[in-house]
Amino acid sequence: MFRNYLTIALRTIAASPLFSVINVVGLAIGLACCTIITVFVNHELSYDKHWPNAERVYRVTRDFFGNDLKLASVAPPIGPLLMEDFPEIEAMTRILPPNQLTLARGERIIREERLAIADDSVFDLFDLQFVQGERSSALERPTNIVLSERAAQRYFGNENPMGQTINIMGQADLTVTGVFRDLPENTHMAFELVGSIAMIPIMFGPEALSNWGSNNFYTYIRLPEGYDPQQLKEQFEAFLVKHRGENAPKGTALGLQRLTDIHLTSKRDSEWRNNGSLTLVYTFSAVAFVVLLIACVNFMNLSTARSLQRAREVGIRKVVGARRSQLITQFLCESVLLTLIAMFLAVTLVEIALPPFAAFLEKDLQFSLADPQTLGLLGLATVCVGLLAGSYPAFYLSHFRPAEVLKGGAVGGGSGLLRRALVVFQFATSIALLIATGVVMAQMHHARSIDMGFDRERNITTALPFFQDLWSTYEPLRTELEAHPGISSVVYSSRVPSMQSLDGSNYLPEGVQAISENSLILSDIKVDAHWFDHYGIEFLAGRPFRPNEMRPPMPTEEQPVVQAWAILDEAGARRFGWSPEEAIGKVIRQPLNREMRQFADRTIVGVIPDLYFSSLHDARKATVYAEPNGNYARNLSIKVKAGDPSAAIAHLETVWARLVPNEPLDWQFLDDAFDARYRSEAKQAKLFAVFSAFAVFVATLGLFGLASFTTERRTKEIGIRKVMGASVLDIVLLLTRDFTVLVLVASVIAWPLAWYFMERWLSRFAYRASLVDWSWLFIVAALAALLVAWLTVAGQASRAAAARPVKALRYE
Amino acid sequence: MLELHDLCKVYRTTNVETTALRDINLHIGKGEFIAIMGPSGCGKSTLLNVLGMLDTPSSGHYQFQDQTVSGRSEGDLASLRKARVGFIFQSFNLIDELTVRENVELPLLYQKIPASQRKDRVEQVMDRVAIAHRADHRPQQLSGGQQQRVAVARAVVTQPALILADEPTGNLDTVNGEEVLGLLNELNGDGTTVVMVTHDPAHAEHATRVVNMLDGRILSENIHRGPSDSEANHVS
Repeated sequence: MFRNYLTIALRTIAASPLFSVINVVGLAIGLACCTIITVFVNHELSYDKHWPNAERVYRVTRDFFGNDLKLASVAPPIGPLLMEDFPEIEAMTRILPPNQLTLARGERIIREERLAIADDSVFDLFDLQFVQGERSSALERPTNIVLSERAAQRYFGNENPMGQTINIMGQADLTVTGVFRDLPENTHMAFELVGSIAMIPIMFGPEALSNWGSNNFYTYIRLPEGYDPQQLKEQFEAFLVKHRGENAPKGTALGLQRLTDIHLTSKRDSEWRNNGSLTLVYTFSAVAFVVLLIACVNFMNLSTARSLQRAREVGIRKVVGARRSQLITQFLCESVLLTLIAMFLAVTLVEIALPPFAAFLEKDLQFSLADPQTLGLLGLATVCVGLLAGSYPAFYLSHFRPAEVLKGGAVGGGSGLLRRALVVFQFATSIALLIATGVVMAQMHHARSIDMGFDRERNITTALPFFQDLWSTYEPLRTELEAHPGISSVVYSSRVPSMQSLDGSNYLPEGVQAISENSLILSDIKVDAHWFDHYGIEFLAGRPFRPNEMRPPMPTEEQPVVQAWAILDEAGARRFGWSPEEAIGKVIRQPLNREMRQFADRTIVGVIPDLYFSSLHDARKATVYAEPNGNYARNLSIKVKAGDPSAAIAHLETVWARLVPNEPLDWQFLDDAFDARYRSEAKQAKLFAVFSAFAVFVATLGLFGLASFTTERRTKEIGIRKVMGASVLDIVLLLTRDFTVLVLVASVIAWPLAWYFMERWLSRFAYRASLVDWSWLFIVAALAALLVAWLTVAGQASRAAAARPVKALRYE
Repeated sequence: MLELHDLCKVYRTTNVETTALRDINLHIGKGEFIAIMGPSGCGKSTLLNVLGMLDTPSSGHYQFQDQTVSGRSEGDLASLRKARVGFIFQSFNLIDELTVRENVELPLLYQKIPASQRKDRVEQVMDRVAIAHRADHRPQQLSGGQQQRVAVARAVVTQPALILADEPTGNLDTVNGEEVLGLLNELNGDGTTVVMVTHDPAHAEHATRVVNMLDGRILSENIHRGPSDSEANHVS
């Protein structure tokens, strides 16, 4: 019997090429989209699950309430103190993340971005596998370093790296004492070299590891099996009070994140790298499923529409003894077979599309038919999709009564209402996807075109070396660079726009003498006198710094309070309760150490508008701009004049090589840096566009098939109408009218849905495009769908309408 | 073999009620060859469909080989039908996607007859209706007469007790029509009961009894005793 089902299924498929091609192509696209997205989702869900006891490992986080900082990293004393206070913590490790340090191997100087400095417990906690050296003793000396296999290859090629040295920032030689297997790609961490944490006090001073203000250490702890992390979290407040005083919980808090949740749910400041997004995973899963669903709807619609052709067969089979269940089985077999053919095509599409998709997402996505699990899943998907697509047609077709259909009785061609509802569903989802694509692009446009409060054009940025006197590096560089006719100005700042503004200080309003509830935490950016002019920032009140305000005196035991200057942004002035004008001349006190013995009394000389400093994702922060400080990060902004920047860049490279000989130059255009901040959205927009195009294409395929069957069914009617005097246009209008109504209904359904979901998506941005401004997108999406429907249906209709009526009448 | 008492069939739509069969009382004995005649719309085909259990009566009683048909489920009717009734239609009703052999084999598949037996029976019956040489052709590749011979083969391959033929010669020329009637006679001669709907009095002559219908009622029954000796048996 099965062979008979197979035979008839294959012959039916061959006998109806239009129906088969539309269904196979539609289902193949839907299945390919779903397969690719499943591979992507599986990869995203696999992050950090491979580590031993991953479900018991947590990352300690720290929030600062004043300047709204939510850090993924904490201060270095916190880890050891947690171990001390909470003996239930089984293991702890701190990792100072890579931060562009200069490493040298012989003559080769590398700006290394993958060096982590960590407790040696990192190897045990994450069970890193050593291929050379002893895991337990590899970092026992401060000057030891351990490399991943990739890093070993990068630094030493085929030489044995063990015992060889790498110089760090011209300060010390580190000896290679071990090589570990590369970290897998699916982890939120990213390091290839590990130095000893004992190196930090040597390089940054004896108190570097006890500094509660340096929140740069990712700290991971392992809790016992069955231990509720909430139990530990509840004790963090008391922990802060114990170690930082009674007021500490008012300004800061500690938290825990499960290791396996970090990649998809953590969006903290100072993450290792851009994490994934659960919303993105859900969104793309939904979109891929919608494409598949549209393809299934095509199958349902076309199968029921052409039921006339199958009705007689159903009648004959029933006459010769088929039960309804046997017919249902037969039709389901057919749809599963068709899905199987589509699956073969889909697998080919996946093989072709996955590598560029993976490259586009910069992910290591794997798809192999040799994997039995993959094969099993594909098989299961084929059966499920086949059953889903074939269920309604199978039940519908099998219900025909032989006595009626064999006499040529009327066969409805499926429930007209249901088929209309399905077409409306297809178009509603297509229109919603088109709108979503438009809105994502609108937000991208908004991000690129918004007035950020400063001129970011033609800026090149680079980092200055850390272990050198700031002024003696910066001043000569600036003088020589500005001498070039292609460079208009060069300025220093601790952070350049596009970077996250992560530094902050306490400030006391005028008249308040000690840190209390009246102190404010504001974001800190260190700049030189020309910075505001360089970035074209207009002042709301006051003036920029004067050169003599750039080097205030250092406080001493004798003179613990020094006079200095500051510029606030509007939000900063507001935090103190001042308008821009009122702020000028006021003094804010900045404690320079925790013991509250030394202060800088800063006179406010200017107020500028709030800047969109980092990206539209982040809210603008109340910021204090003050003079350069060597303890902060050091960055250079170089403004090139209009025209070809290559001569200026060549000059920069020459001057750099001469003045900073031991540091490689690593520069980029500020525009590129900003674009990188929106990279994930840009990719999202492109993917959305691609998936929407697929959805619309598959829906159009279905509509084409449906229009073709409808026209065929109405051939006689068309003939009669023409005999009665109808023109070709009349006929085309008659046939397109039904579909027009359906697309309009679909639009009315799609609009509020798209509005709701895109409002939610836009709410992720601190500064977002307004849907009201872009509401024309909703109309355009509906018109685009209408146009596609018209072109598809009108093409079929006009052909039928142009035929001679006598032919049409003879057809019946 | 078939017993119908006060059988009625009414079709209802929202606004219209059409009575297709009214108070039909009919007995068909084993081995009979019955011809049902009457003008278009008189209920001939409806009666045939009810006899073949393709349609159910609205009221009345129908007994098929001592089994009550009324009130049975669709599945039960299919089981009852598939082993005992063969159908032949005016428009042949072959499945275009299957070959001649596969079309003939189809009822045996639904009866779950083992493959080896199926093969033998299909070959035999194709030989009998002289269509074996076209076994691998599709219906569209055959003439009307050939197609109807395939339909006859399909109807008899299960060796049914009853063959129902709905104007089996309606789409055939005289020669082919006669051929098909010859086959039906042959089958009847072998003991198969045949009920045939026809418009053509000449074809009705092949039957042992002719049932005349009008407006859903049986008007009369004529029993053929021989080519020149017939007796009208009017039923009120």
